[in-house]
Amino acid sequence: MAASWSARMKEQLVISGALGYLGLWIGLPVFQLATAGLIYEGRNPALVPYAVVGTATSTLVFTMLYNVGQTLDTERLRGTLIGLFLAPAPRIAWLTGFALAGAFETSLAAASTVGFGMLVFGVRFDVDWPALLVSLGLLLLGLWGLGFVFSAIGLWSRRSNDVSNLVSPVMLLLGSVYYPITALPLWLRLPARALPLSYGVQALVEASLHHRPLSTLTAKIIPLAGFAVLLPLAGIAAFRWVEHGARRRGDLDLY
Amino acid sequence: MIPSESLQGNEVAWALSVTLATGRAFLTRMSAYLIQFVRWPLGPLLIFAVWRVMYGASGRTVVGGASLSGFLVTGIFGSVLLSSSIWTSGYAIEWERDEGTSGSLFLSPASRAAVIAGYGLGSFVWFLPCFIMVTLLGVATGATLNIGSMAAAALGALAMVTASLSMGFTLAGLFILSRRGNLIANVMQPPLLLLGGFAVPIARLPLSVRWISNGLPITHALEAFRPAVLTGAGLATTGRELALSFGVSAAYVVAGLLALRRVEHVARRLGQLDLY
Amino acid sequence: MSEALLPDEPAIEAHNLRRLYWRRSRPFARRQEVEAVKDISLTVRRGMIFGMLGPNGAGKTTTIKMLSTLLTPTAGTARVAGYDVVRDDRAVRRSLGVVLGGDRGLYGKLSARDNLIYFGHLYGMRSAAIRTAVAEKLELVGLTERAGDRVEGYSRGMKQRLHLAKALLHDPPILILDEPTIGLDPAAAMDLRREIAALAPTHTVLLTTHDMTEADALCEQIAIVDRGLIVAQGTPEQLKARVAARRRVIVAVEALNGRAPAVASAFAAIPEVTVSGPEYDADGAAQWSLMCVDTTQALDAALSALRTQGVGVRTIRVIEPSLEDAFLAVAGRSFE
Ligand SMILES: Nc1ncnc2c1ncn2[C@@H]1O[C@H](COP(=O)(O)OP(=O)(O)OP(=O)(O)O)[C@@H](O)[C@H]1O
Ligand SMILES: [Mg+2]
Repeated sequence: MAASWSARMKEQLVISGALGYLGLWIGLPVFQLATAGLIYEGRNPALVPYAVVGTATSTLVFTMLYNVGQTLDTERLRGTLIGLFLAPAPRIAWLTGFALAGAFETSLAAASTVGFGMLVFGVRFDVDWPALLVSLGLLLLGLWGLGFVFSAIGLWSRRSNDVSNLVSPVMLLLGSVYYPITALPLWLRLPARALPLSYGVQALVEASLHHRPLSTLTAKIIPLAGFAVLLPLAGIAAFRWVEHGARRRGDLDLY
Repeated sequence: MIPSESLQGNEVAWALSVTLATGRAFLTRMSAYLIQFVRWPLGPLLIFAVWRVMYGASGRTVVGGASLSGFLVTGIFGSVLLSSSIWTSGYAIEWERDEGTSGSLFLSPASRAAVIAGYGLGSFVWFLPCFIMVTLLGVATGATLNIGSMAAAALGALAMVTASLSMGFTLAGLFILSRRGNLIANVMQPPLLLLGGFAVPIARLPLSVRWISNGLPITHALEAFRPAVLTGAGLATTGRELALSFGVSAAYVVAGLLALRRVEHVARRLGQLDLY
Repeated sequence: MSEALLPDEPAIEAHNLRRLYWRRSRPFARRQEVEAVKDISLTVRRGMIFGMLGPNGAGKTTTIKMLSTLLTPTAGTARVAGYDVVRDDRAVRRSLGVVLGGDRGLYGKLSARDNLIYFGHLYGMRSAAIRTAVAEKLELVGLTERAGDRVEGYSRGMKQRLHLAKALLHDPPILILDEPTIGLDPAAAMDLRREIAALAPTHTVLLTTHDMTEADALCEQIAIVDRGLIVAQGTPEQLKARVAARRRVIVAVEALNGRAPAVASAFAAIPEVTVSGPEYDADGAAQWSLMCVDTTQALDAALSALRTQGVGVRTIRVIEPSLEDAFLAVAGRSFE
């Protein structure tokens, strides 16, 4: 796992040059937040702090999505995907390695989003730390599992990156990133409630903007805990199943 | 030297045949991936929905002097054009390299610009369903067209197409020089969507970033296209932005051609034409 | 078209080609120079099949890439079909068909036919000409039956055949083939060699190969490349003549009955011959190997020595030096 993490980090540094690369990851959420901010500002300014927390949280999902997608695609292109599958190391180890490689850039993206919100839109925080940490931990576990699910889908479709590109706007629409679930039309609220991101954002908004202690957040924490257990299991099962299928079709090494 | 069944004496006919062949090959290659049938029509619709809900939550109904739906549908129309350009013409050489065919491509004497134009052509065909969906969506959400001058509307649309193609052209070279086109393409989208004025009128952007918007041909094209189809503006009103749009596009095409030449030069020097 | 090929101008001409690569072992490490090609000059006359041999990493592919405009030489100049490979790269590409081989270089999602049609357009052929040429070349490489299948599902040898069809499609006057028969089954390789041989003298071919019999059979001129330099050049016969001292006479004898030392010393006394042996085969019969320049003289001496010792001769074989011997003599080294 450590090996796949460091190999991946090295590669990213080599390929894109350290500075440009960091700039890119910061730019993505900041511009999304700016769009939301400009739409809300002057009409419904209460939603701006919400969008700051939402966008910062969404960076977790996007780095997970793009790292998994980009890595699988690159491995496939270079013909090293087969090597990964041939290696006796458990899949869960290298997949986690891929996801962890994103930890640094995620933290940076989240921090710059928060900084941008504070500087440009003057957002103030009022944090309940235990509630924040517990919500964040549970959300991360759920996303870790979701990463496996997407790896499986990416592997199956042979175009992980396109899957990521399809999934990210769905997450933006339904994941309560820029607005609470109640802003959605009724028929979209149901699928929105099936996403861990929705609960994660709502819990983090309450904990970091309104100083809500853990005890008042059970309605969000319990579903988050459920995702934290179920998604990793589902992800591993999905990945096994897809790998099995890929072997049967023999397209692991096809581009 | 040149056999009679060859087009090599006639550069224009040759370039045209390369463009058409590339467009056709592009469509065949795209349709090999199921996900591409889903991703492209759906992506812009989802972004439209996100913007729409955000505006709904903000309580705005009139944006930039037009109805919310009209403003967003034209914005999405432009953003589809732009993404199709980024992901196809812009990504053309990157894709060739990924597939391992850039060596074969660079071995051929065909015009590289014609190949990239072929990708652009293919992508517009591929995106047809998407354009239709966007139009339907506009109608469904109550956008009404108000075209005062057909000429202004048509020239506005042409400016949009030209602007996005010219940007794709420039990106084609830049992506491959950066060796990380995919990431950049992903990450470029939000800034371009904001700075191009697709989601928020550029009049609302802070002055400090508006010079970037003004440097994008698509911004000017959108500024000419929107009033022409939404508020019935004529050429007298949109003429200035139209001229700016075509002028900036031309500069982008020149920059793109230079970048392409540079790519080939650098790659030949470093020995990377056929490497990933 | 100002510099079109003059009648007696060589098809390919390289002067002091040199090419460096830079590599980094890890990010931010200092760049290291690799001198893939040190100094290569060669001339390929029109209508000739010219072979480049050399150990792995000798610089053959690098040379070929420079000649086919994929790489800029670090130093030196080259002209292909009369055009400079750096200044007139487009004209060079028009005159060339190149096979770099390997798994890549073809559109995996297109069928063999669609690949060829596309490349035909890239090379400026008209649609009608493409149609006939594609059918003809597919037939030539034996892919007609599978021509509609996506190339990603092809075996390595099938891809190699398609690479060849692609290179031949626009009927270029000059062909550059990097290991053309790699991955082909013996029958297909033989067919292909026949095709390549038939290309001369209307076409010029520059090829690399690791197959010595192939080089011997096909090439009029051969250059042996090692560590970025041409270490030997000539016709196959000339190269073999350089190792003429490696002719060998193998003498297998009847039962020795303890006379082995005597025979050995009699052989050792023959002038200008290097003796090795005896070696014993499964049923205990002995054989000696005599390396020499003049086989007739060595044979005479050996036979009379055996007669003197009263040892019967079982078989005699004379082995002429092969191109492989020549290759091993000038470039034989273990890979480093
Ligand atoms: N893109 C590159 N970057 C760095 N070094 C390279 C590159 N391509 C080739 N080399 C180096 O240049 C040298 C010559 O390589 P080249 O491919 O020309 O050899 P070759 O004679 O074709 O060998 P083979 O018989 O194995 O095909 C080798 O040491 C190789 O490592
Ligand atoms: Mg080689």
